Amino acid sequence: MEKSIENIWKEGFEAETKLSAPAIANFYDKKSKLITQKINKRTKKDNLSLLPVALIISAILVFMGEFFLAIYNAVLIVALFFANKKMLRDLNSINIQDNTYYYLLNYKKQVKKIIKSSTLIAGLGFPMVIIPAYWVFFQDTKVMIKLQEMDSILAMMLVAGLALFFSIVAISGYKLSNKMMYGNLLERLESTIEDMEELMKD
Amino acid sequence: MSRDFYTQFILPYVGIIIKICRAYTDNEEDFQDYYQEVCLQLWKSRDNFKGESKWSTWVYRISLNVSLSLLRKDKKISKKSVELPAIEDKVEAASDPFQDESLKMLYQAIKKLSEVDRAIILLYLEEKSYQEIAEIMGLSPINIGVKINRIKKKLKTLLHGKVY
Repeated sequence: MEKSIENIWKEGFEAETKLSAPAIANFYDKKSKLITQKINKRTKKDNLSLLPVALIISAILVFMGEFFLAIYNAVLIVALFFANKKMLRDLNSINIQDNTYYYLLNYKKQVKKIIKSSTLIAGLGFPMVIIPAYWVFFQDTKVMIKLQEMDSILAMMLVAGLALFFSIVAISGYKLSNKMMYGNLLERLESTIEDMEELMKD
Repeated sequence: MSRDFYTQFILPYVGIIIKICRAYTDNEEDFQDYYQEVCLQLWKSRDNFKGESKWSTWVYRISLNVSLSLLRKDKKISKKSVELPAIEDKVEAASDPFQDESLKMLYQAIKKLSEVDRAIILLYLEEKSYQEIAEIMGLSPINIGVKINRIKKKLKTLLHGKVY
């Protein structure tokens, strides 16, 4: 008489000798690699997108006859691209070594450094692009003539105020876009590190 | 994860965790990943266990949830990367390391069932009551009874009438 599935299961597993549990090791290795790979891939793509942006802005400015402004913007954006590229190279070169936990800690430290530098670049760079552009575009308008006629200290204070305003706008914009694009991945990176710390404590 | 937690709360249930993970994976590497993830999730979810059900029920639930969610994730990845042949073709005898030939064949048949049917039959074969299976799967005990009969019929067909 043929066996029922219940008997095959019961007798099969009773006789089974290879039912030993796999070792619990390197829980987080794969997870960590997946997170960092995703961040690396996204940052690379993000940085590459600066090149078409530089090209489009320059083309528009050339079309409008603003050659000097076109070159100025292109140089600034391409410089930003190379600065980012260097920072991302440093991020990719972090040594995994034997310990995933220390690798993630180093990685997090480097990411924070990049965010800090990028915030500074956004805060300084945006006014550096906008104010000269504004100056060139509205050169002979009433507002600009009035500004030039103003007391020089007052005019400088006004420009500084505008620069500060654009700086705040740029930093807020950068922080928001950063949260939207990388927020989830950075949270996962953080929680993986926390999990590993808890695992080590337990 | 402390040795105590592993010894006290995972080790007694290693058998069922392995059986579940084997039912949802086709190779040793995936099996190890699934097993580790289940253990990790059991450890991480230990504070959420309120003692309203038995710890064993909790283990079954976590094991099935983790296996199903990993399986869906794997399916998504394989769909994105390359067109693979049907799952049935991938399930080969070599993928299950069991010595017993009948058990190996039964496992292959189980792997051809739908994800939910696989979970139900695994719990049934582990001699869980309809009530407990219903609790784990979030279905009614009557529904479970009907489903088990259908799954057993399907398995019989898959095994070409070699068992009954």
